[in-house]
Amino acid sequence: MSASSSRGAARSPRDTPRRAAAPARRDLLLEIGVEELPARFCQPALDQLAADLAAALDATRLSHGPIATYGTPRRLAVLARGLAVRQADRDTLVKGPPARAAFDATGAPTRAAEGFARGQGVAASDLTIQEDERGSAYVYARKHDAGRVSAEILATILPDIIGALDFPQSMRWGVHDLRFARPIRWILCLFGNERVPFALDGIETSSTTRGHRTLGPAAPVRVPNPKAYLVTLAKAGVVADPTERRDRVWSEAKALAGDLGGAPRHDPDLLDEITWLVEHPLAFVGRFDTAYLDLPADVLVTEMRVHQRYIPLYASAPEGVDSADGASATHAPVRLLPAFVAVRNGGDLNLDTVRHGNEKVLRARLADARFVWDEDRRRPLVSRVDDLRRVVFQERLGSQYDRTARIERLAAIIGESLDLDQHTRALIARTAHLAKCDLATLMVGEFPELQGIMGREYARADGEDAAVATGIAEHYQPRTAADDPPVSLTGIAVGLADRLDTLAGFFAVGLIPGGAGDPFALRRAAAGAIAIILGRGFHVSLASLVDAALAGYTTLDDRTRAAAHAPLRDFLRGRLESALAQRDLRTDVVAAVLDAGADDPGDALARAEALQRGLDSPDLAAVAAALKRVANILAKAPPAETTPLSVNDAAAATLIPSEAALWQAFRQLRPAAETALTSGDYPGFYRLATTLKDPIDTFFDQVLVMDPDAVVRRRRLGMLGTIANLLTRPADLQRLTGG
Amino acid sequence: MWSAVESLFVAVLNHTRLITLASPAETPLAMLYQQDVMLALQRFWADQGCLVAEPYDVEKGAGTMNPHTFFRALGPEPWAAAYVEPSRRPVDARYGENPNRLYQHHQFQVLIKPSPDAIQDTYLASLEALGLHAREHDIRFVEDNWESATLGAWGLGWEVWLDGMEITQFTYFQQVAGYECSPVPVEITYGLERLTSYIQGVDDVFDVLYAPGIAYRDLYQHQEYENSTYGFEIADVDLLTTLFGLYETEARRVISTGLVIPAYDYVLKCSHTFNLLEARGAISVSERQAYVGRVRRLARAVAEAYLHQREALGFPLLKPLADRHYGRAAIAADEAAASTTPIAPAAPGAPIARVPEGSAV
Repeated sequence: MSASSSRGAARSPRDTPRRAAAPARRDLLLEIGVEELPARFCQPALDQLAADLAAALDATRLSHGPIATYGTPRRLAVLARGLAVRQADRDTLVKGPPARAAFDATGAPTRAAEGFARGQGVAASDLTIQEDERGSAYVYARKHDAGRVSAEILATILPDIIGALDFPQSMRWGVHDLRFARPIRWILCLFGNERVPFALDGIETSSTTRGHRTLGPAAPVRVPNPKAYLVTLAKAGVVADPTERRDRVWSEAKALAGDLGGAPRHDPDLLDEITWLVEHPLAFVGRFDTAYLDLPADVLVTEMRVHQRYIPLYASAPEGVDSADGASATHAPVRLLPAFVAVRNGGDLNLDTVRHGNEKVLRARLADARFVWDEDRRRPLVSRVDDLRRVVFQERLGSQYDRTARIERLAAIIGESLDLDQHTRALIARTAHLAKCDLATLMVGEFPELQGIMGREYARADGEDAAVATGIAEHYQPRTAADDPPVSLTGIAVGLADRLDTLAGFFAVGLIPGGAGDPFALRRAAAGAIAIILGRGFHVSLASLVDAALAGYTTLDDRTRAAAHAPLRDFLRGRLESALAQRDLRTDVVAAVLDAGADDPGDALARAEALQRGLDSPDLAAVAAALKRVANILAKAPPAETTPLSVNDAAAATLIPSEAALWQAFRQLRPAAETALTSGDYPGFYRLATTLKDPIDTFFDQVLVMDPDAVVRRRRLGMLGTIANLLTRPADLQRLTGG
Repeated sequence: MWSAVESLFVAVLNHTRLITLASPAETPLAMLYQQDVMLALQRFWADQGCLVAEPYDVEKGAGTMNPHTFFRALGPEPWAAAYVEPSRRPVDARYGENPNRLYQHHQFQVLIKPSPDAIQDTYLASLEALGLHAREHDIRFVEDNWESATLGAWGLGWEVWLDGMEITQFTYFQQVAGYECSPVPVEITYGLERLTSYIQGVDDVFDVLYAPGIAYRDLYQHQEYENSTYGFEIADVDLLTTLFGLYETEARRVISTGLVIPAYDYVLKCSHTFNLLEARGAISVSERQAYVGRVRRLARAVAEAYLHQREALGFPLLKPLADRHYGRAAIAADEAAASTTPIAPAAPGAPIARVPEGSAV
């Protein structure tokens, strides 16, 4: 590309060098003052605020330094360091008419050039001529956009950023049309030490913030400049940095617990929530009567943790075990202390009043829990099966009683198909019968999150078999993606039955998750079913399980049930695919395996693992590549010519050496390969397949498959088809992409 | 869109007057009886520009069902009211033997529309009026969202914690009877028994002193026993089921005549009858949803009738006092106007029905 002459050297006045501005960069501070936000909304909102601001600054050519966020329940703040006071200038070159049409013989611009220049807002004398990438000369207009003042741009982009913040739930208030998570009460916006003037639905920016409700002054507090933000708020009783609040809560809790000879458990969710419930944390200890330690520990912990956001305290672990941070402590015996750490939003004025208030609340709650625990145990758990008639499962799928009957039936079928002994099957039947009974207890009515746990506790109290009690609690596992599947056979069989029954029911009545929405947590149910199967290495047929589960819905007609079968199986296949991908198996390996059969998840896992390991050898990869070639050839050949080759046909023919070598090698490995497939020895199968590498390579080097002689051609196509049929049985190797 | 009258309301509400009781450091907190708490809250909210209303005389589960909230939350007209509401929850009955659970408890209900900007500060000042100073306690606004399936209503807000105890529900209504609220009302509901038991330092609600020499026990414990026994054991299921159907039929018939309050009384009766049937254990899983849906459809229909009525009356509270007309005179004027001129448009910029039936919660 060659530069060419520039006509007219006059410079636009905009191009004259600006006088050196005072500081060329300043900090930007935006604080959205709100009524208390839900704790769970805060950190995601801050992350979004930072990302959206960075994107908007980049899009508007405002160079900037690092972006930090701060926040409390009453404020979301973002601070961008070193933001340019002006937008960067921008020069753009706009292509116009061909040079030969732009200037007449005298070198004066033609009407075409004048029109173009006018359209671009430049003088015709400023047009330049350049060659484009094909070497033809064109006229170009060089447009110069002088950067605008940042404050102006900020006043335009910031209201949009605030308005576009996305919350799980938003609301309107007063006479505003604006939606936000909670009402916005002020907006502080400073660029350097100047306010950035804008208004959002009538809410004007200011250069003031508000302090802590009780520790700060009643009047708004002026923030002189962005750098002074944290200090100004600290003086007004607000710890605006969530990390600092979190650290304070945790270290104070540990210290207070240590004084009692105890420790808090590592509990990031609780810690996060507490962090976002206070502007100025002050941890203190409260106590409760040791008599309540007789209640199940899960009840005490739920009362403290979930309902009051208190940090439960545990007796310090014996030497060598770090119960505060170690995951290993999860299964250790739980010994709670009759004390908790609560966190006040404020200082230590009248702390005893606050402590007594909190103790009183917990006392009332524990008294209630004790009452409910005693009340529930007046009847054995099993007597509640009938009560389940009055507990809804899903509007269109009947009551929990109906559900229990279906789960009992399905768990029995699963127990049978797993070849479990009579005793275990009896325990499974009992577990299934009792699994949902705690839904009819007062305790689970009060604390739905204790479902399963209370079932276990009440079953123990009734003297049910330990495996039954454990199974009742475990059948809800995995409760989350991070949770372990059940360990007990009772938990496994009932958990699997429960999930399949749920899936079958929802699919049968057409409540199938689509897109991102999954209101009934069916993806989690399916993932749980797959996790249970894979966790124990069972061999089951998903198709028969789905059939069995659908058959439990006797109130639905055959057509409805049959129609749900394929969608549900595909849905389970989708979860199986993600479960395998999470085990570090290659996506193409997983796809190859599932395409060859996804009905038995355990078998699919074994095939995928064997194939992936086999592919570590370049030889198997070469065989796979050759099979891909075979697939291409077979796809192009006329279908009539691709009949698999029988052994007799091959014997009758005169084979050229490389043809014979491949066939011979294949015939040799076939019986062993078939045996390996039957016995599930997939590593062995792929070792055998690997030995075909050389014969196949030689074959393709020396043999023209598509021979003009139809007989020869059919023979060779048939031979390749026979080989491919066997080698692609556990996994469709032709699908491998190498990724 | 806001008239002079309305701006008077708002001006009063936005001007937070902090009640100046004696500072607690100087004066020990005097004994506040239950009735003192009620009186103090009434005085406080009256000073904030709320009218102090009476409970509504039909049984109901919550103060939200009082027409001063249910209807006044709808439509473009401003409103500000405060009142005590006895609230009946048959399933919560415990024969008067549980220290916290009651068949009937008392709410102190405040409804202000549009929600004032400084409403949280005003609320905190109302606690000061009860001697509860924020500095000496830990007062927290903890996320809690409210919905009523039978009223087709929901809102976002908080439960307010006082030293760990929930004492108030604080809700910005978003929808009532399936109608989007515009402007948005704020509802503040104090649990009076809880608040007073905290102030009096007692653990059992029946130990709360209602007035000098009269405990909560004297007033309500035996009544709790009676109502619990009735709800759980004595109530005649067949009769109540029949009554529900009769109330529903009458509500429908009256709604079709355009009479709002007489129809609403039957809607409330349906709601309470349903609550009794549920406590009695007479409603199965599949029936429950159906009952809730029947009450919600009635609430929706009566809300629609109310909005039409207010529109026909020209949204009186948007007009100066002298220009508001009700009753036969207003209806006659409306009919005369309708026969000569096209139907008057709704108050400008005030869509009263933005949400279709299906989106009711």
